[in-house]
Amino acid sequence: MATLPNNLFKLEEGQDPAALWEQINVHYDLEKSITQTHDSICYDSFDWRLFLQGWQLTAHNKKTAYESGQNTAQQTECWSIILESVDGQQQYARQSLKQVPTFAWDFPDSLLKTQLQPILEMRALLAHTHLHWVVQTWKVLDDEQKTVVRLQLETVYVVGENSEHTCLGQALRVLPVRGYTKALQRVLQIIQAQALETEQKSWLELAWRQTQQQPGSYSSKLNLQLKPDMPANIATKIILQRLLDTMQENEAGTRQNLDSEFLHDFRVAIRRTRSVLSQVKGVLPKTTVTRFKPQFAWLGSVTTPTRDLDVYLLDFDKYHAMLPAQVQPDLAPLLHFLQQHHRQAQQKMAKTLVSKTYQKLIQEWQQFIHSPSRAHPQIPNSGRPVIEVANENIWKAYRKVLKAGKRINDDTPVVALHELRKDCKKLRYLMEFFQSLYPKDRAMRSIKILKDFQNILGDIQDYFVQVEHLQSFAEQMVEEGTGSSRTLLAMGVLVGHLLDLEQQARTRFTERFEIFAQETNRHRFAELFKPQKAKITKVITKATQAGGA
Amino acid sequence: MKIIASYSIKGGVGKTSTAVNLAWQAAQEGANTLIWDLDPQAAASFYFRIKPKIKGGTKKLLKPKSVLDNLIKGTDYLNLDLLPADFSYRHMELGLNEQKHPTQQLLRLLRPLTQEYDYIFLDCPPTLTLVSENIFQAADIMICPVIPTTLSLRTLQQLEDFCNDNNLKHLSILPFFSMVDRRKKMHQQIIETFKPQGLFLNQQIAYASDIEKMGLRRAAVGDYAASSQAAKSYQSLWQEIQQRW
Ligand SMILES: Nc1ncnc2c1ncn2[C@@H]1O[C@H](COP(=O)(O)OP(=O)(O)O)[C@@H](O)[C@H]1O
Ligand SMILES: [Mg+2]
Repeated sequence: MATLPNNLFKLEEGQDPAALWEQINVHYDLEKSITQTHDSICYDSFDWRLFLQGWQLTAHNKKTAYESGQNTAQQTECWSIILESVDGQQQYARQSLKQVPTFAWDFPDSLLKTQLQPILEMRALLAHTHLHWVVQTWKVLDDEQKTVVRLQLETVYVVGENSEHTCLGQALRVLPVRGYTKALQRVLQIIQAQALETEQKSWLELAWRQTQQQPGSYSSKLNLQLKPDMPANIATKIILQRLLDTMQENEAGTRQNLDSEFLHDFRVAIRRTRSVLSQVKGVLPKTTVTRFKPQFAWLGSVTTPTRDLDVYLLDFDKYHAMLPAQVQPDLAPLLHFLQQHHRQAQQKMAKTLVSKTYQKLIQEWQQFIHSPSRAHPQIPNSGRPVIEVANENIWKAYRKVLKAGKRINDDTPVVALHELRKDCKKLRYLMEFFQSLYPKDRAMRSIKILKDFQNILGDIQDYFVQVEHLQSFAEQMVEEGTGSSRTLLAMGVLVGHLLDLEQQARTRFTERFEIFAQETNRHRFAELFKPQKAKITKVITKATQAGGA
Repeated sequence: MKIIASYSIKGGVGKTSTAVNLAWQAAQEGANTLIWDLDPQAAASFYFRIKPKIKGGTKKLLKPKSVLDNLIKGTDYLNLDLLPADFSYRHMELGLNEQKHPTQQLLRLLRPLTQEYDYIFLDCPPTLTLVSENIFQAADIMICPVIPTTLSLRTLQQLEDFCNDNNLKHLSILPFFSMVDRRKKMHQQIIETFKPQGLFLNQQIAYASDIEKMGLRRAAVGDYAASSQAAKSYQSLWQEIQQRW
């Protein structure tokens, strides 16, 4: 995939370029020119969004030195930031900045910003690879002493966290001079005759191998490969291990608040774990379930205040825009309030994540997952094929959603909608846990159907919760003496807006539910998830009924 | 993009030295720069060690679909390219005369290059002919080296008259004193007389052996004598020119 541009030749370890110079010297004079050093740092989000897009973002601090030697090299303190394709063949945007911003929204308005923003969204740019280059330039001269080709001997180092340098190797880059194609061909021929292969792996890939990084390796998705006839207890532990991994992968970033998504993924993994404990029935030992359920509930709850404030901060611009222009400045104290409380909540949460209680929980949980799984007659589903358990649980959860949905009309109190939302979430998690047991496209299609329905419930819930939060923020601001009457009025306008939006969302509910519950979709779910036994009994009853008639 | 001609009706006044050193300076400052050696004497090509030859000569050059792109050569310096001279440029006058718009040919040829380069310098032959008219049409700025002698001043006057007569208002003419010899009374007198008018650029290029040496070194002054007075003069001349547009 990623190849270096042509005209690059890898030198073997310990290979002396002098032999090569000699060969070239037969035809051309060679003149040693300047040596330059520069650093390049590659950035991506934690979940490798740029890489997965086929992109690569690199900041170079090239010290511009002139070839003429006598000219004092001008040192630039600037980083030249380049967005290009992973193979370096195509450049999409570039910008020179004093520092590399952390978030796409921190970039000054530019092509680079507009390219990055929709891909990175709220994710921070993190440096993943630091390369150091020492580049020695040689000039190939014709009989007029005119430079006809430039040769650059690159020595590349990967720089570690404690700025230790590890050499990745040496390569020779052949730079053409415009209008001297014959000389270029000749020099290339000489170099090729020395059996130097064009380097296939890019420096970046070599660096990744050295630092044992795997681009694209992190995903918040489960991406499991379960087999239908696996015992349910083993499959469940595979799911739980994956969720624990995700928690641990996100823990440091959550603690350091690198961006809001670490906490988000961390929390999703906790919620999913809780969902396994309560929704995958009769598979895990009862004692384990009763012991860990409250502990993960606790872990979820200590992360909630920070997340709530994150959501507000991420949406602040949206709230701002909901207000008429002349009232917008009145909202500034709310932003300040949110930031301050976020800092406090974050600090408190970070403390919890290094606490003994937390570490003990994770440790014991890991121990449980690693402990041998034996099917036990007292745990009725533990040894059954996972597909059966999956079908039963999903089917049950699905039926519950259908039943609850049917009961809802325009007069139903909003709590019922919130309950339904929770039921949907449980169903969704179950479907995702066991997704790999079903034909891929059909599983994905049914998840999509559920997701579309969840969206409307999510909207209703979000507006409702946001109103509640705004009200409690207002109370706190009054208590703290930070909310002027103007700010509170502006917040009141927001509350009004959000209530309107909630109302509008509610009116769309029935229509969305009807789509979700329409016959073709019910069929789809039944076909995929309806337990075999039930299906068979139904067929038998049908047959006997037909026979009896 | 700016097209800058280094021009004088007279020979041996420093046109080529100026074009070469200013182009080098621009390239050093990071601008993509091209210099076109339009003089069949090929002094600029010589300084850059590039053979004064273009494929097909003037005849091919002036054909309707011709392009300059593949005639361009990279110099020894980054960001600096050269379009070489060719012996057949001596007959350019005749070739131009056969064209439909005989004064617009240079501009037509240069237009596709304006995307690629920040500056295009034209090193001109010392004539006042159809070739020069093409140069006047194409250039945005014309820098004119003038040796502080009465004769040189007369040729500058000739040039100004020509431009006025031929409606070349777009062209800004920037004369400066070239090959100034401090020891010569007449040089000093002439410079003093012209100072109050503000017609000439402030920066002068003094007579300097470092500049004479270009023929030997075949390189820009700033390359082999970076800290010399001559190199500094060209640098500030370039600065002053940039401030004039
Ligand atoms: N400032 C200067 N001091 C000394 N010699 C110079 C100076 N400028 C030009 N020369 C020399 O004078 C000669 C003519 O200069 P050149 O730039 O080729 O003029 P033109 O292009 O107008 O004919 C060249 O030999 C050059 O080296
Ligand atoms: Mg000349």
